[in-house]
Amino acid sequence: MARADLRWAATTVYAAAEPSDGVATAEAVFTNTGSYPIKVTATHTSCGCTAAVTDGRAVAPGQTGKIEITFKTLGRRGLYEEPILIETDDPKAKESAITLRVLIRNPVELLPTLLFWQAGEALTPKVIRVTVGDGFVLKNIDATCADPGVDLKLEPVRAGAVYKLTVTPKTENVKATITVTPEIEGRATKALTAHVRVI
Amino acid sequence: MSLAIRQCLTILLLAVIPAIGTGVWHPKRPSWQSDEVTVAVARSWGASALWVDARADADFENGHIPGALPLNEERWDDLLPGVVDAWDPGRKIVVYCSSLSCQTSRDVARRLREEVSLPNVFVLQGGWEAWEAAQK
Repeated sequence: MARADLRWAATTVYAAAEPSDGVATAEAVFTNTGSYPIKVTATHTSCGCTAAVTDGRAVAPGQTGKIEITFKTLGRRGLYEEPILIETDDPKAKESAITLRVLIRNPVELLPTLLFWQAGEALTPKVIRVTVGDGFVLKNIDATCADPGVDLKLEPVRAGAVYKLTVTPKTENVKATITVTPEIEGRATKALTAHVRVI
Repeated sequence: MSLAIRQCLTILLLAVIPAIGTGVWHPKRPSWQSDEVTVAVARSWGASALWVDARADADFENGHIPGALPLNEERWDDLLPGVVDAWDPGRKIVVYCSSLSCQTSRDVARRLREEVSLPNVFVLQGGWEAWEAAQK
């Protein structure tokens, strides 16, 4: 008796990338353990940032097929979870759901990227934490602010790995941008920004 | 028998005490409240709602909630200063994208909370389509 069975190697697939990579890629692999060929007919993703592509060929019993997944990384940061719906021509196993989990990180991250002082709030120092990702070698790091009304002090918590950027506004009505420029071995220098607002 | 019950209750109590402590005081405790709001609730906030449109630039140009500011991830660094300038601690941020299934508004809301450390960030249930439907 003919039967259908489509088994996924994993229903959650993982990828990691940097924002500047442009795309993160992953593969979702399945095996046709049924007794007749199955073809993926369509894929559906939840945003324009994700694409899931198949070669459209029928997968014979016992053979494997795959879905190539790409995720646009430009401008993105953090952990993303994207559901992907796969449709096949098999009426007994018409839909499958898989999940793409992507971690997007810069070699150096600032947290938070906004420091805010409310009206009437004492202009006491606040801190931005600067973290260097594992495996990156920091050769130099610098922090600047074009606004003379903002004092900056960058000091290591663990040299090469974690830094503390202490920000102190000297006046009210400040709207400034802080630029942190890390120099990573083997990488083009890319400045990061954080914002300072004092009402 | 009663000894076994007493021991079970003791173990349960010992587990519940740290669980409650974690739920109340842990800095990364899960929220007890949903971060989603309906169009009606968000509209009831009036001028204290700061609408943030997480859709692509072209969608924003085609139409958006009056007063909404664009903040899509493709141009995050360019657009974030505009949102920061419009925000103040008294405002609630309502992020929307294009439909119920759209994940983008949740990603933008997460980044506003985690990276920018803004409080009171919500996701609009049903997104832009729900807003349009509410206007009819």
